[in-house]
Amino acid sequence: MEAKPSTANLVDKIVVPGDVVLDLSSMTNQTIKLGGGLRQECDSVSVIKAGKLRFSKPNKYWVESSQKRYVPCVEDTVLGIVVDCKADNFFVDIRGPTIAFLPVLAFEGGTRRNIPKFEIGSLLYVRVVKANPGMNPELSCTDASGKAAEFGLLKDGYMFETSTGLSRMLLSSPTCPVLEELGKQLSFEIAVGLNGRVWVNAESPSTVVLVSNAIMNSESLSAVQQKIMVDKLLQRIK
Amino acid sequence: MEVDRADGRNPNQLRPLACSCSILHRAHGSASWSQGFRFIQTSHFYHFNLFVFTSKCYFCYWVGSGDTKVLAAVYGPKAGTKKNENPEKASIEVIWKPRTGQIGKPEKEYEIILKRTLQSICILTINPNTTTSVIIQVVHDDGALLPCAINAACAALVDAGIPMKHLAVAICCCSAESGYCILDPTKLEEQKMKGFAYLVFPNSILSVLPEGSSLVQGEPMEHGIITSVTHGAMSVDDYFHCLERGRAASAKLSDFLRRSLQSKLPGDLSKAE
Amino acid sequence: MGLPNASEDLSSEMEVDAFRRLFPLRYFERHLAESIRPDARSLSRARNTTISMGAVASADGSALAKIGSTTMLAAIKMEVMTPSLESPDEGCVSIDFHMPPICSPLVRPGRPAEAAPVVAKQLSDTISSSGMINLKELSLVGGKAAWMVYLDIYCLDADGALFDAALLSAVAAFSNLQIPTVSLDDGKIVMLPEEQKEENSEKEPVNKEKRKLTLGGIPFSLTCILHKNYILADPTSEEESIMETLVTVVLDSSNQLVSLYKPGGAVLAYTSAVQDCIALTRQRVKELHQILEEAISGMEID
Repeated sequence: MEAKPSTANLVDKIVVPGDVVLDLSSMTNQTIKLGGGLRQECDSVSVIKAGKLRFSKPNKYWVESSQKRYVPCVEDTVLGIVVDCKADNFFVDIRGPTIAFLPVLAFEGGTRRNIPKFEIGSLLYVRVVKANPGMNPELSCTDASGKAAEFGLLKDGYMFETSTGLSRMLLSSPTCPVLEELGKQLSFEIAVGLNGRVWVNAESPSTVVLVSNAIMNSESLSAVQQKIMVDKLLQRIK
Repeated sequence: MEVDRADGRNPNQLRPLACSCSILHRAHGSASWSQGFRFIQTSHFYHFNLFVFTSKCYFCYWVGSGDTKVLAAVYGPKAGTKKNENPEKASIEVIWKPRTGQIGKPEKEYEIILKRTLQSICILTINPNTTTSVIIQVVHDDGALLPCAINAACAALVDAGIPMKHLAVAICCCSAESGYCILDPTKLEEQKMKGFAYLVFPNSILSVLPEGSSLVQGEPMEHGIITSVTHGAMSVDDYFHCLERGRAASAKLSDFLRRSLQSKLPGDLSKAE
Repeated sequence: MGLPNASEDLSSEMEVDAFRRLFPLRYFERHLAESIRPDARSLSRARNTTISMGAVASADGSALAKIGSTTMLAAIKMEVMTPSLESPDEGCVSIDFHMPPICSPLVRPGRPAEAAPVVAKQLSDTISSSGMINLKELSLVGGKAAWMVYLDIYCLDADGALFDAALLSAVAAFSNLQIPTVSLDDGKIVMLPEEQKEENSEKEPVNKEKRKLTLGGIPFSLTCILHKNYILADPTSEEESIMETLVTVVLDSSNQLVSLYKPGGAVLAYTSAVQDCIALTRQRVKELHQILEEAISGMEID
């Protein structure tokens, strides 16, 4: 059998459900923060989703994984599609288990008098403000201070769906290599939701097609491979 | 003592396993699981030497021997539960599609066993009032069908990111007249033997806890039976003998499952940093 | 459990019925801690079991089995059929299990119960693998005629341990079975009505001496609930709905293991728990055997 694992050498390794990654009884007087994919069970922390165990100093642990389905989480920014308009709420599909509610007042300076109008099928860039089990998640089109920020309707452009892992990669900082390389040569607008939806807009349709293809191809590539792939695509349109 | 098996395996030897995840484009999670192969399928070829019980390679014997292959797809969690289900918990529905024809009583029984087994490994309180559908498509059946389906369903649930307590590995043990047992039988062996048991155990986990702290009633967690279904009469001792063999094999199976899940996840998810 | 003891404290302030409804699991656990169950049974005790033979006069064999309030009515009808080519000298047994809406509030009219096909499949697996019935005995004329046995089990009241009661009623119905007499008529098999038996002497019954089946190893079963370290024998439906891990052990009269059935469940069964369940079943098999013998001898006196 292999040597007894310790938390330090499990970090950045792939773990599967059931693995116990932290022993709390040996960590008294420490505060730790658990992210997605981990669960506390008495004195131990075990994994509930397969993925890579990540640790960020000083005390955050989470499991990074990639799915086709999105599970809403507070403060995530997502791309939602309006499916229905009711008096109090817009019903928005955010690829989660249930439809999310966007209250009609959750806009900058929102009052009963000026309720925004969205057609069914319009794409919104929104923020998740409530995500409790057993309840529909609640969205907002403002940032925490009540400003519109960049939230709201996304006009024109092209939206496609990817995995949650890819969208997280696109949002990571520093900017991921695909976007960096594309950005050097092309000008385009992009909005990435943590729910795996990506929206791209540019002057010419060919740019939109190229950018979206580059992103969809980049899922399983390393940084260097991504650069090569983007270069090849760019050469083709020249 | 020796029992000759038609395909030249030794009694403790499983057929070569193959597992691939995320094979269906539209499903939220999917996996195929096969035990043995009829012809060399190049797409699965690279798996074959991952898992041999002995150092010798019996590959040449396997060509032409039977295989059991199952596809599993997971959709969900979707909103709402069915009638009669507890809305305070996530519900799991299992749909069994046989290779040909309509579903009958055996398939209904498989559905229920699979459903109960999956319910016991998933954490149902995280997404209350949702339904997760697991669809099992039998591609080819040559013995040990239910264990194969349980393994496939488990891999597909992991692929879909459904929260789970632990994984499950399933194995079929046959007990012969002489109190002697063989693992992973083909259909012919299943019919020939006195009795057989489908056993499901938790996978062996990596744990940072000190050695021995996870013992339950003096046994490691992965020795507990999640599901046991037997066919045919056998003595109680034979059953315990099967249990012992099944546990030994389940350790290897869970190694294989872990490795195939690891190979599915891109290792460079965030190499960009 | 990691739960705060809030409900523990409430239990002294609340009425028992309210406590039972609001915290069913805790209600049961408080009983279990005292090694007793809400219906005053000890953990390993099964409910009162009765069998009455010949409950359906029109059937060839029938029995009504009751375990606690779980009630099963089993009836056997026999028909002559042409045996299949693969097994020309064997008869056939077909088992069906019905759960009409009267048996439980969970079963709705028009929609078949989910459990019914599963119990039916389990029953036919158990009966065939126990070797209780020798299919060769069901043959009348090799390759020409054999008995087709239709066993139908109706669940009249589903209060837990369905499989145990169904198996018991099936076994009892088989031991009650009177094979009807048949005779050969121009190479065709004809059933002889009871009253013609003596008069019609020119038609010689083919199976004069074979009016009863010899039953091989008779299977008996016991369902147990595993909850934490407790093992509860013969659960009621309330117990089944609260504690979900069920283990059904079937042993035959020579203590061979016919089936060990545990479909999932939150609690893992370790070797010791499995051994305990088997030991409980051994005791229960003795009890049931006696109950069955008494029921049979009771019939003969009548």
